[in-house]
Amino acid sequence: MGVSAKVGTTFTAILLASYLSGVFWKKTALLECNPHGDFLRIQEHHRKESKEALCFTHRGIDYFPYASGREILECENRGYQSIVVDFGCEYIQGRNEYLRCQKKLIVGSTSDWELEGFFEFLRWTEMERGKDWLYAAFLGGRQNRERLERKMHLSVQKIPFLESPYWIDETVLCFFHELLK
Amino acid sequence: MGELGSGSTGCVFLARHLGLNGLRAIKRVPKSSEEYGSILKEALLLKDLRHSGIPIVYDIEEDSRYGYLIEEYVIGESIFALVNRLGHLEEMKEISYGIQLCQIISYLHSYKICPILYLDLQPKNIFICNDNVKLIDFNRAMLFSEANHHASLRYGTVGFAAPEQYGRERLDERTDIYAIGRILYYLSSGKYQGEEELERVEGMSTPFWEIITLCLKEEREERFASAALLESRLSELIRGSAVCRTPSLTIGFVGSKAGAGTTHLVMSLLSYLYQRNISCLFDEQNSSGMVVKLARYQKIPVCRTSEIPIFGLPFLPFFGENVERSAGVYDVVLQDFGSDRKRAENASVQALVLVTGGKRWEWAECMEAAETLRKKQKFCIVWNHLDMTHKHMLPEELRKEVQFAMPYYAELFRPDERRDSFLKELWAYLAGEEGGWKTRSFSGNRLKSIFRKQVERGGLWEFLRK
Repeated sequence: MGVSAKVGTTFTAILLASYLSGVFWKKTALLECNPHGDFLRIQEHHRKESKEALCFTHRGIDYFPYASGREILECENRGYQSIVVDFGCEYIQGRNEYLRCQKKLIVGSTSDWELEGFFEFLRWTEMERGKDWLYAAFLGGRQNRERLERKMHLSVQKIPFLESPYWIDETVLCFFHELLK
Repeated sequence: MGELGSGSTGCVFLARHLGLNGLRAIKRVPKSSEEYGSILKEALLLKDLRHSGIPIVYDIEEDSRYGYLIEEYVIGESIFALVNRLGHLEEMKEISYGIQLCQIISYLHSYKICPILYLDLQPKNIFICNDNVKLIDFNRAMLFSEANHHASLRYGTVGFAAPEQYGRERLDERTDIYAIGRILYYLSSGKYQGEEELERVEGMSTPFWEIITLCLKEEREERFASAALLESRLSELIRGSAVCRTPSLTIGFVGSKAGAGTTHLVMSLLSYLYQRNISCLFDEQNSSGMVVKLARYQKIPVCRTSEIPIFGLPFLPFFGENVERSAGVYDVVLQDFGSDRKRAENASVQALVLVTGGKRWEWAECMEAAETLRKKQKFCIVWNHLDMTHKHMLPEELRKEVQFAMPYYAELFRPDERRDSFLKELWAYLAGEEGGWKTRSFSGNRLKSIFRKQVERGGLWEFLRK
């Protein structure tokens, strides 16, 4: 879940799915539960055929564009070992499904002009946040990140700069190892 | 025998063990000193560590006034003394020492329970002994969890400590990476600096300078992610300048089916070869994810795409094609294809081993596998799950193949007479000597004649083995 648009939520979701599929060989489904339409653009860009209605496979991951709670349930029944859901920044619309996830990752930015937005989101969700919530930021400096950590008493991992969310190297391994441990 | 030196924590004496006649270094710390607790901590940390670059801790003693830590005496010269004497070192030598230092740090960071952060890499704590790097003085080293405890005090050496050590930021493996960068710069320049921007040393190669600057990034996230990655980059510099070393022998192992015992065989051969000081690598070449699962079970973090040390042996996990995989250079690479015969058939290996069950209902799969795999230059069959106390009929069609019978042994890593005898024979064949057995047919009378002559000469068993 992104605290706002254009903070790297979809990139991080694809990166996580690539990590789970490439490192741990988990059968992984990646669901788009937001109206942005990014997955269909990925499908068109890579000229992928749909293997069934609104589902295509790219680099070992099964993508489900325009998904909802029903598709999440179907994926569970189909035996996917990992289900990654990209809620975009639609917290209000996706809240119920988001809160059902076993791990909840908040993606934000700690750059100077977006830091306050991150703070606001955290204050707004204070009553719902628990130990299974994780936090990561793409952009922004160390000082802002530490300020956020100190004030909100949580840990924010810095998402490494990468050219592609499909390619896993040691920086990605270390990042997810720190984030998910 | 004499005092070797003294510092803030206490004195170090040279002593001789009267019984074993070996030299020991004894670190003596007053009980009244604030550092007394650190000597106990150092002993507890070091007692389980086994690496050629880390001194052995033999014992810890105390009397009414002092605590004594008895360690291996490291004969050599500190990097501080070396650089003071020579000014700076030749670049290849610096890189070579850097690689060894990375291997030690990587070992500490892969510690099974929790990574150990050294946190005080500085020239006086690194010794060169017969061109080998040894790390001494672990009293500032901590487990990762302890280093980031809010009440932990922070220590370091100015000029070598990472920026995060000056404040309350999280410390992690990259804190030690920063210090390695400083050490490399010190080796090249003979200087260490505080906050000032470092200048490239005249004559330093561009790739080496790039590696040093990457280690010294202020943001941890921009540094090398692990000591293993740094080691790999440094190794590339050596490989680029010298003759490129490729493994002298790559052996593939494939099972006729899942559960044939392929991984069991490969892991035990890996251990056997290591016990004989042959550098070899377990290279997983199937998608079972066994190495990652084993690492996680042993609580070893999977945050490297190169080999993971498990039980002190190097295991290279198999990842998807979207993961950048790398490994060091080994004399022997043992590739475990699991039951993926297609992959084994297309692999570029010098020898291929087919592991198969010996029961009649397993013969069909075995013969089907052998049909395609025997085209390899060196091919042999290892029969598993055979009761060695009984005679067995084996497929007539395979009588021309080189074959071995694997005895039952539960322990993969501990020496065992039956295991070692079998592996010795298998290794002798794979490494180029003759071995194994092939079936030959004789008439009854001919056989009796052969046996009679051999009994007269002696050595019937050797004859039968041939």
